[in-house]
Amino acid sequence: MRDIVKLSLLFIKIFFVMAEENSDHSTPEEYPPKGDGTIGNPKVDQKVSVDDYKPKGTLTLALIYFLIVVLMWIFMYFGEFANHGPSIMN
Amino acid sequence: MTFLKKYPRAAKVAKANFIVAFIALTIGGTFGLIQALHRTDIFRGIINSGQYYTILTGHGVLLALIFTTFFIMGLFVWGVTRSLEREPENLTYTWTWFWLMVVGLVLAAFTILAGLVPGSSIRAAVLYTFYPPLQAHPLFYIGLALVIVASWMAGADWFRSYLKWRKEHPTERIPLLTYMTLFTMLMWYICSFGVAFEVVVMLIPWSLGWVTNIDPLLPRTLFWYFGHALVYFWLLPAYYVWYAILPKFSGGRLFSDSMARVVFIIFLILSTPVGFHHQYADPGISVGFKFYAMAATLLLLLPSLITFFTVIASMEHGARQRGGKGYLAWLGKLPWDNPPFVGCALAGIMFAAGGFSGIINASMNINIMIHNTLWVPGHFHLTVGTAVALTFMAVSYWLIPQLTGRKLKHKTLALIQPYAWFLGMTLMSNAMHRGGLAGIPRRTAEPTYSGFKFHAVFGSIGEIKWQIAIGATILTISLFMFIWVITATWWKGEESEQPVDESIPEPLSGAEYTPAVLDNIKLWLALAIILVILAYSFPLWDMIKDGLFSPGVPPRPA
Amino acid sequence: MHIHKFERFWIQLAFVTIAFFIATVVYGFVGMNLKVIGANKKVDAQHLENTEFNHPGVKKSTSGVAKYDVYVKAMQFAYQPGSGTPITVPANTKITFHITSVDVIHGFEVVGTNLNTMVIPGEVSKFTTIFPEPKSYGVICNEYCGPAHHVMQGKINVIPKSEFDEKYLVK
Repeated sequence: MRDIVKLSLLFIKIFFVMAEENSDHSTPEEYPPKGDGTIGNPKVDQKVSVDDYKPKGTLTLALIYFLIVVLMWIFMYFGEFANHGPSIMN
Repeated sequence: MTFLKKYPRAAKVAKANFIVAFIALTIGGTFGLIQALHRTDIFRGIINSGQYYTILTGHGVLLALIFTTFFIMGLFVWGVTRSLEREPENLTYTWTWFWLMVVGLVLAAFTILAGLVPGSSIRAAVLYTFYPPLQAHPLFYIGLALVIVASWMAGADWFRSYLKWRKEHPTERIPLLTYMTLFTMLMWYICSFGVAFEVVVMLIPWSLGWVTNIDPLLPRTLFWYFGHALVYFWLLPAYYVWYAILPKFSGGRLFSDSMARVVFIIFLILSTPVGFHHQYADPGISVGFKFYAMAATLLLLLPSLITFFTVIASMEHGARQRGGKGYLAWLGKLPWDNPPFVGCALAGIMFAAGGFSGIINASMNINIMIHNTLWVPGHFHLTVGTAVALTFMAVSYWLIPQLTGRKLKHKTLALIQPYAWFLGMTLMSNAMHRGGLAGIPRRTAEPTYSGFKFHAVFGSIGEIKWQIAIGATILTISLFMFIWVITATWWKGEESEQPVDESIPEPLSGAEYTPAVLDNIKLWLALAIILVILAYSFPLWDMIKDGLFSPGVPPRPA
Repeated sequence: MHIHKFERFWIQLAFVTIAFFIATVVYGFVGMNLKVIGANKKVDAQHLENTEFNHPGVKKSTSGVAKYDVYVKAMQFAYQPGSGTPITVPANTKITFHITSVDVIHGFEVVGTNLNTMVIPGEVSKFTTIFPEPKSYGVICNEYCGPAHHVMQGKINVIPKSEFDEKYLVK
C-alpha cells in the first residue's frame, strides 16, 4: 500500500515539474488555487466569485469590534482617567 | 519552479538577510526573558540591576531595529524580485548594502554587549532610544548610522529595479508587492532623515568629544520625528503579508487591490507628522503642536480600520470557499491547522487589541495617565511584538522552503508555535497594561519602592508580576520552537522541486478597478513632505535658533 | 474606484469614530480640566544659581494663578526636595509645580495620579494642580536616567490646609 502511495506521489511530482517546465512564464497565478492542504495552501471546496461574495461576516466582526472599542474608550476615559486622582490643570 | 531555482541570486540575498534577522531574534528574545524574570523579582541570579539596562538596550536594538530591518529587507528582496520578475540589477551593489548593514549591526551590538563585561569602558546602556545627555561609545552611533545608510541603499536598489521594469512595461500598473515596498521605503526615507541628522550631525561629533555640550530636547525631538514612522516601517511589511499573501493562506483572494494601495498612501502621508504624540509629556513643545499631532494620529486609525475590513473580508472569502456559512460560523472553516495562516490570523487579532491601547496612547490627555508606565510596553508587545513579529515568523514557514528548496520540517511544532506565542503574549501584555494603570514604570530594573505601594485596579500586583514572568517564559519557548523548526528545515528539510505552493491568486477586485492616480508616486511624496514641514518646521526652528547644541549640558556616560 | 458598499459604510463609521475620539479629548481638556504641559521659558541647566531653583522647595506664589509654587530639581538619582525631605503641600489649594533637571532626562510621576511629566535639562516642566484631600503620594522617576534609575524616588505629603504654615516654605 505504502509503495503505491509513494509511486503516486512520485508521478504527481513529475507531472507538476513537467507542467512547470512547459508553462511559459513565472509564478502561475491561476484560479481557483490548487488548495492541496500543504503549508500555506489550504484545501478549497468551491469557487466564490466576486459577484457572489458579500462579506457579511466581516461586517459583523467590524461592528462588534466597533462596539467593544467605543465602550472600552468611554470606560477608560470617563471611568479610569477622569477618576485617576489630581490632574494637570494649568 | 521554485523561487530558489528561478531567482538564485535574489534567493541568496534574501536568505542572508533572514539569517541575520533570526540570530538577532534569538539573542534579543532571550534577553527579554532575563528582563521579565529580573524586574518581577522572580529570578535575579543572571544579571545585576545595573546590567539590566545593557540587556534592555540589547533587547530593544536587536529586536526592534535589527530583527525587523533585516527581515524586512529579505522580505522586500523576495517580493520585488518575484513581482517584477527580475533578479537584482547589480549584485555587487546589493551585497554592498547588505554587508554595510551587517558591519553597522556588529559595531552597535559590540558596544552594547561589551557593557556586560565588568569594568569595561565601552558601554552603550542608553536604550534603543539613546536620549542624550546619556552617552554611549561612539561606535554605537556609528554602527547605527551605517545601518540606516545601508537601508537607504537598499531602497534605491528596489527603485532602480522598478524603473528598469517600468521602461519595459510603460502602461502596466505597479505590481502590488512592489507598490507596497516602494511606498514603505519612501516613508522610511522621509522619517529616517530625522534620526540620521540626529546621529550623524549631533551625536557622533558629540560622542567623539568634538562638541562637549548638547541640548537634550532637540535630539529627542528628532528621534521621535523618526520614531513613529519607524513603527509603521515595521507594521507595513506585516500589512504587506496580510494583503498580498494571507488571502492565499486562507484559501481565498484579496478583497480589494485598490484599498491596499490607498492604505499605503495614507501611511506615506501621515506617518511622520504625528511624532509629537510621543512627546505629550515633554516641556518645551507647545500644546498647539501636540494637538495637531493628536488629530493626525487619530486619522491614522483610518488606514488600519480599512485594513481590518479588507484583510478580514479576504480571509472570509477563503472560509466561504471552504464551505463556511452564516455570520460568524464561517470563522471555524478557516484553516486553523495551517501554520502560516494561524500565525498571521492570531497576529491580526492581537493587533486589534493593540490598536485600542494605541488609541489611548494617541489621545493627548489620557496618555499622561499611562506615560512611561508599563502600559506602553504592554501596547507595543501587542503591535510590533506580535502583529509584526508573529506575522514574520508565520510567513517564514512559507518563504524559507521556497528560498531553500526544502520542505518544512516539524510541522506540528510549527503549528503549536503561534498558539503558544498568542497565549504567552495575552498573559504578559494584559498584566503589563494593568500594571501601567497602577503606575508601575517601564524601563526600570527594580520597580519596588519604599514608602508607598502600587494599587492595581483589577487583580493584584503580585498576580500581575507572575503573569508577566509566565507569559514571557511561554513566549521564549515559542520563540525557540520557531528557531528549531526553521533551523531544521533549512539544514535537513527534505529537498523538493516544489516544497510549497508559491502561487498567489488574483485579487477579487483587481488592478483594473484601481484608479491610475494611486500609482502617481510623485504626487503622494510631495503631499507627505508638505505635511511634515507643516508639523515640524516651527518647533524644530524654535529649538535650533538658539544654537544646534545649546542650551547645552555635558555628557553623562551610560 | 470600486469600493464594496459594506466597506464604504465601515469607512464612514471609522471617520465618525475618529471624530468622537477627538471630541472626547477636547471636551476633557476644556470641560473637565484634564490638560497636558506645554512650552515654557528655558533655563540654563548648568547655571541655575540665578533662578528660583537655587533654593528649591515650596514658596508663596506671585504669579496669581496658584497659591504656592513648588520648585523641584531632578538629578541622578534624587529629587530636591522630595527624596530627602518630602514635598509638603496643603490640600485643596492651587499649586504650581516647576521641575527641571540638572543633568539628564528624568521623569516625574506622582503614582496613582495623572501628574506625570518628562523633566529635561534646559526646560522647565510647569503644571498646576489641586490635591483634593490629605494623603501621601510616592513620586518615581519613570524615564531611564542611568544605572541607579530604579532607586530614584520621592514623596509628596499633602496635609490639611489648616495645618500648613510658614515652616513648610523656603525663601
